[in-house]
Amino acid sequence: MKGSSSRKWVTLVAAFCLAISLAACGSGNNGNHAQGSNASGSPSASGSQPASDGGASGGAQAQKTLTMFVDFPWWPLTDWSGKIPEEITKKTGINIKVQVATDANQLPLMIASGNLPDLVFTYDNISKMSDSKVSLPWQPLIDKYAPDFKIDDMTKAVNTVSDGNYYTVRDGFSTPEELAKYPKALFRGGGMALRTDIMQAIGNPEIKTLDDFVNVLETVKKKYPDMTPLALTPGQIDSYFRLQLGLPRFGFNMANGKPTYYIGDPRQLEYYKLMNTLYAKGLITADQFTWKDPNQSKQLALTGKAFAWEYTETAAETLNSELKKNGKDFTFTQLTPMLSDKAALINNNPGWAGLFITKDAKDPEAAIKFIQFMRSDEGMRLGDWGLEGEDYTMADGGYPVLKYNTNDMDVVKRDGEVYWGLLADTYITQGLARYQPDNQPQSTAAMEAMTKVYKSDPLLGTLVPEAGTNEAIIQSNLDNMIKTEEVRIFLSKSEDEAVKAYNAMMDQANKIGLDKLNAWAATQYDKAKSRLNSNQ
Amino acid sequence: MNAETKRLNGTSVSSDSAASRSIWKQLGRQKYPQLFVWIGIAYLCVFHFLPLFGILMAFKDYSVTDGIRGIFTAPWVGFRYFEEFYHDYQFGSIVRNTLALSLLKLIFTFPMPILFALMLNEVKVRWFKRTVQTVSYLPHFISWVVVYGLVVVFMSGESGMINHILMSVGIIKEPIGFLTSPNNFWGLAVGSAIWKEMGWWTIIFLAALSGIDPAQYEAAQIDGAGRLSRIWHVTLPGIKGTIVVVLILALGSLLGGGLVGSNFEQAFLLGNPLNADKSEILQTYAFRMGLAQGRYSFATAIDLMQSVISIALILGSNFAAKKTTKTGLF
Repeated sequence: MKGSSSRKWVTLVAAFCLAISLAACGSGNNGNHAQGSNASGSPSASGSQPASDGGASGGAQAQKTLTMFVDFPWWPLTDWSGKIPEEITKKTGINIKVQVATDANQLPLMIASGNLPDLVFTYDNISKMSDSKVSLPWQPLIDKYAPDFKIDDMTKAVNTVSDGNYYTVRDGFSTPEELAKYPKALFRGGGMALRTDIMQAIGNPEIKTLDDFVNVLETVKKKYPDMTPLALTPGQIDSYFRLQLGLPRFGFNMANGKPTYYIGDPRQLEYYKLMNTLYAKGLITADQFTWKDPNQSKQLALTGKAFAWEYTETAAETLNSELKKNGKDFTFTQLTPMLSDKAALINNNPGWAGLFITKDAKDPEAAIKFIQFMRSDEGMRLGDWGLEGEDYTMADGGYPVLKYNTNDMDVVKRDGEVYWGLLADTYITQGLARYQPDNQPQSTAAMEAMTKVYKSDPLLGTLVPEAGTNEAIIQSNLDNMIKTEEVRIFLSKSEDEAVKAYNAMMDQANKIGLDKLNAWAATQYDKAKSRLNSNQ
Repeated sequence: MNAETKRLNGTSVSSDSAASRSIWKQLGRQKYPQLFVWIGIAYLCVFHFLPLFGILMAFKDYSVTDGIRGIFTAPWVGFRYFEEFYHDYQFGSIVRNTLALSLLKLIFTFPMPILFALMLNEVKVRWFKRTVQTVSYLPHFISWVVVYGLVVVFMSGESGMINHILMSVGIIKEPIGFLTSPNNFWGLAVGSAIWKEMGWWTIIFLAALSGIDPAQYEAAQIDGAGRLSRIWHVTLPGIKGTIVVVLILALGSLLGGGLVGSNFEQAFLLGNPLNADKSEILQTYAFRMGLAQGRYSFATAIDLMQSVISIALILGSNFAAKKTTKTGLF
């Protein structure tokens, strides 16, 4: 009897566990649970609670709470805690309940189910969020609730979508005129790090041109046959070489006076020939194009098996800090000068990610005022740099000297610097923090060299076909085709074969509809121009 | 007559109600096992039947901003997405790769667990048999991401262990491009699938083998049958039913990789721009060009095509199996 009763209990418990696990599967797809200590079942729990103190906003005031979805699974700050968010809340009277995406499909599912929080911060889904069925346009909110919130015409123009509204202002964007006033606001791009000891061993040859660079790699290959002369990082393979040749890496650029999808620029052949030369001379290997993880190339450099590591402007400093930790006796030096007269850092992006106020926002006034603060000089510096005096001091050159390492995630997670600034900052605030000649001299020098050759036409950056349109399909088909076909060019056995493979790729591009895409871009560019002129 | 009818009806009513009482009684007695059954049925309904209405997306100009209601309200576009895929320059190679990889997997991975089970069945040293069985099914629990890492370590061109060994003993002069040559992809995919899943499926066949009456072996032995004859005339007919059922299931999921599954994981992880000629398949294409770009209608259309082919395969194979072996799933 006792045995039978305990069997029943075991069965009941097992069934209960099964039911709970099924329910958990269901709720896992729901995408509506907040993370961390601020968890809430409500998608938009706008409420009020007494402020801990009046702070800078003056006197006791009701503290409002907004919910915010951050559409980046890698986002390191999972809640609104630390001295920076606390200071923002003190200044604005607004507390934020943060929910960080668990995967890339969560936001599309939330949009489909109509289950949205007050604010959404996204990059991948900007076009889906820029829709009156999903988000509130900013201008009417500014007119109604924050008439003193000023956004310049160029910024409005590059963020305006086909319905004539702008639903966000992407962060990390400054107009070329503003940028010209801040030469210390540095731009990032592809970079190259070389083994310092091996360079010394081969007599520190001068590297002033791409030919010099190739010659050095050849020398290394001869003297150190077991070493990989150059390790390329997946995702960054073209960044350094296209920078040196002044070629765009994606999107549209001006070629022969017309907006042209980057692959349609005839100068791209130079890049493909250069890559083919590197392969034909055995300076890069076919295996490198099978890597999916950036760490695979980094490990070659860290274990002393690669002479040069192609990554970004931080390549040498990243490696050196890890090599020091690992107790290795060699270091890397960043190759900072531009290696060709054609070098240009082409960046037409109208910014990076955008903060949206959703149509379900319970308190749009609080939301737009929060954004207004985050976009003010005070808010951007607080979010990007930290507390003045405590986290940074302003140098005479007008840039902040940071007292903490922005790559130290323990500090950033504890205090909340850097990342919350990205919600609504400009490029100038971001770029000035990169100017660290004393703390990070190599990357600063590399970025200074890149910034000197920086070129931008933000209107070209607005040429992004809307999802589902014929142009979007052509563009995605082109991108998919290029990924496969360009590797054939790299790995061709001779330059003639490389040129043939390049021509075959361009034929295929034309069949897919490159001309149609360029024609669409020309029309859209003219429209964007006239929109900008009418705003002005 | 009326009285007779009434009497009969009365009997019928009382026997019906008795039957229904007895069903409820029976269900009451089975309430705990029934709990599991109903949870299973609920799972099937919620996660497998209910989402079927999403198939509508394949024929509609659906945008995620229209919400779930948009699946019903979006305008019809007929076969637009099917045509788009058909006219894609990669259409021929994607369909060829999907079919070739699936068929190769069926041909090579289906007989392997049977052969392995037959071999293990002949091993008389108990501890050895157990050890081999355990070691062979352990890879089943390793995720494909980890397998990909192992494949890279062993089979890379320059730094891979296999190339290193082959070159150091002078068998080859240049490293073999296991991961970089399109011609090696199908072999790599089939080989790694066999390594990972063969041991697991062997368990099914070993279970079937244990159900064969030992008296049949003794009788065959008395009749003078040797070891191979016993396998041919006793063992294989004894597990014929299991083989047919597993084969039908494998055919049903043929385009997903059949018995060993994982066509998507393999093509996604082991595929790269260098071997894309042979590694791009329907599922990776649907993922890359559909889901990853938020083109749910297009992705649904491609997956629907695959599902239709799979249903045709399962019905066809079941029909053929019933005709030839009198065994089938339904």
